[in-house]
Amino acid sequence: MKKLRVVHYLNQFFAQIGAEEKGDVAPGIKYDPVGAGRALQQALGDKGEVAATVFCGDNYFAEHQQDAIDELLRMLAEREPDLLLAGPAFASGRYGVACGAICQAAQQILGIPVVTGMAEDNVGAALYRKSIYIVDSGSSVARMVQVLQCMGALGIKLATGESLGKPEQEGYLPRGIKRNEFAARPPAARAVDMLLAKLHGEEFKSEITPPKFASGKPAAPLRDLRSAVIALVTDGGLVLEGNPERLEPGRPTRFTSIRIGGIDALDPDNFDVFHSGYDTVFANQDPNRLVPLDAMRELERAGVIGKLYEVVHSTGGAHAAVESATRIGKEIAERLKDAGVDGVILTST
Amino acid sequence: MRLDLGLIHIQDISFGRQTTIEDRRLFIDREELVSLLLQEPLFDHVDIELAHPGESCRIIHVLDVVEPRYRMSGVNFPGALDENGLVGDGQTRALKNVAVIEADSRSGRSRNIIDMSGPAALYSPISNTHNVVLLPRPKPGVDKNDYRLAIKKAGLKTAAYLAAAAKDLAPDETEVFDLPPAALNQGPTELPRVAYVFPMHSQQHPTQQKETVFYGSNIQGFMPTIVHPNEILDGALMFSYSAFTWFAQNHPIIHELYRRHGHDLWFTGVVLTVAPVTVSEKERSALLCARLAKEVLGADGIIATKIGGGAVDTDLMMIYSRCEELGMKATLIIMERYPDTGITFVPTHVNAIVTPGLTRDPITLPAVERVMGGETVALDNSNPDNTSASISPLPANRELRLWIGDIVGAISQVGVSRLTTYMS
Repeated sequence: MKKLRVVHYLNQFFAQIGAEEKGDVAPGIKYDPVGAGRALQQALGDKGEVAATVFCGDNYFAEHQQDAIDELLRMLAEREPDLLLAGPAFASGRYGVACGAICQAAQQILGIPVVTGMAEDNVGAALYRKSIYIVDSGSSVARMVQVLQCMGALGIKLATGESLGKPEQEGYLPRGIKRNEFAARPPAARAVDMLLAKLHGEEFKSEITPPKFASGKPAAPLRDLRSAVIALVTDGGLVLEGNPERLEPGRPTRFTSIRIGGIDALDPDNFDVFHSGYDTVFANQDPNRLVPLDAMRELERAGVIGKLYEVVHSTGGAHAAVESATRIGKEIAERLKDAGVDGVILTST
Repeated sequence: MRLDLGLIHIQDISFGRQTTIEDRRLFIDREELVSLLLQEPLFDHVDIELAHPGESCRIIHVLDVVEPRYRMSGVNFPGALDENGLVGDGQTRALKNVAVIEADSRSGRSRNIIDMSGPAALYSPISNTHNVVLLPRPKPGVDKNDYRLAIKKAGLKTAAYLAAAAKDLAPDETEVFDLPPAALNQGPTELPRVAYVFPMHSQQHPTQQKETVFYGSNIQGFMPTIVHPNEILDGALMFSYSAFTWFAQNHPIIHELYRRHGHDLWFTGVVLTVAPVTVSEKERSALLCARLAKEVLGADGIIATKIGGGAVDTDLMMIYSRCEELGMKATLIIMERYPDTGITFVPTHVNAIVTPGLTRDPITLPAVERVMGGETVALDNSNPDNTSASISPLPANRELRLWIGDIVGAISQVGVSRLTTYMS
């Protein structure tokens, strides 16, 4: 097997440039393993060679992230590496973010496998664990050698296309991607085992855990509806006739903004309802059943509400990923807030 | 109530001059079976083909899968095939290693696929049975839904017809399913009492008026009900969608609870229900499921599974919560769909869920020599290699890259599955 060319990224401290006072040092390169890189070379054995060490000061990276990445990528590309290993950064937040950012960029732009290491609660882990493999280093620098061994072994597997084991076997932080595997016992047996363990007060582990939702504080009630601007928002899949923006009927990643200024009711000839999670026949017959524009106009005319906001935001809610739904919700809320909307009626299905 | 399921282990099937079983070989009188199925006035003609394990053969557009069963006295599939009547007691013959498959290009989903060899066969029990494939064609102008129901009935008819060939044979093995009336169903106090709560359908996809789901009922307005587990095993239940009759006949949860009954648990019975549509109905249904499990079946713990999409997850969570509020422990089985989405409707107090696998996991099926049930497989923008909005159908005999969830019998919501998942 060909020896893999490995480049190692370190910050100014681990690259032995200097401590905190050297934090603003610009990207640089050394053509040997440096410091911990020597332990890495040992861990790689005859399978890989540390062909260079690239480094950057943590402050410099934080303050000039794009420049630092561009410069480091240029140095990396010159060395034509098969693999980039970064850190480990342990609990250091700025170093962790730098390791994650340079790894993600190298993976995306140079198309090479990358591995870094840091503590699970490092802010860099939260930012990058979904897109790159991060070895769980813990926060103690005393584990340097073990962590480098783990990073090296994982990197070799990625670079040679060997299949990876589970996170706990390989030592990386779970990335939030589910995969199938054959089970030793069928689901029914596992369900009974789990129930009996629960009934006997023994330990058991759910195979599915609850998603993490962002928590929000409910807004205070509107004091005066008669002066309030009210918006309509739906996750029921209202679109313009023919769905020209191709809004997804399920697994939404986007929303559409439909102007309703001067319209008294949603005419079924001008609007469609696209949604993969419910029977849309009735909503397509009369889209006001989904988004009650007709009723809201009556309330507006009667002065019950001050004004109906002139845009309806709509998305298709079936099987939404929590992350996408959270982002869509935030974006809609920001737009409504900026437009001076006081209250929102959400119609779901 | 006791059901003696007499198993005949079939080793091969072929067409023959009369329908009979000799030395564990099933011979099928093709003409007789065809003329029996042509009693259905909606059919123009019916083809029947055989598919054996290991063959380079693909069955597409699978509508239902039925294990051949024949009740020695009384009705078969009451309400759906035969007239009203009861099942779950007495003697039933079952032809093991055989399945009746209904396929037709005008009904069913083209991507409901069975491969008789190759990687898909690792996942599905239906790739490892000798399959009798029914290919009925409708007369012109026949309503699509009437036609679908007629095909499903043809499957039941064939299942009963084939297993009737075993009525004079001594079974190779007899499985006994015996559970007394709920009021008398007392085990040793040290064994926890376990009930099974089963939403068998979700009305997010409403059943047709003429649909036959439970004892021939279309189950519209169905309320949570205690049923004897043997009824589900013995032909009272056929699913409307998302699941196959074979799954009810070989129901993994009911089998497992029977297997462990008297050993490490005491099986107390089944609460059967339907997932309704509105929040208020869902709440009422969950309350009643919990009440029946606790106060009628006297359960200490329940297992619940569902049929249907993500909307039914909310029903399972409500059932779980109401049961635990009444002092029972609960465990759920929920199938996963997308690698990165997770199950959205999981309240933080729900800590016991088993997964039978992730359906949107790509699998490559090799090209095959023979295809039954149509010529093309319709893809859509959900397929692994396709992102455009409309994709022309592919010839069904070529290499196909699909999802594991497209393979009939690979991952089912009642636990027919060899899989689990892990977080990578």
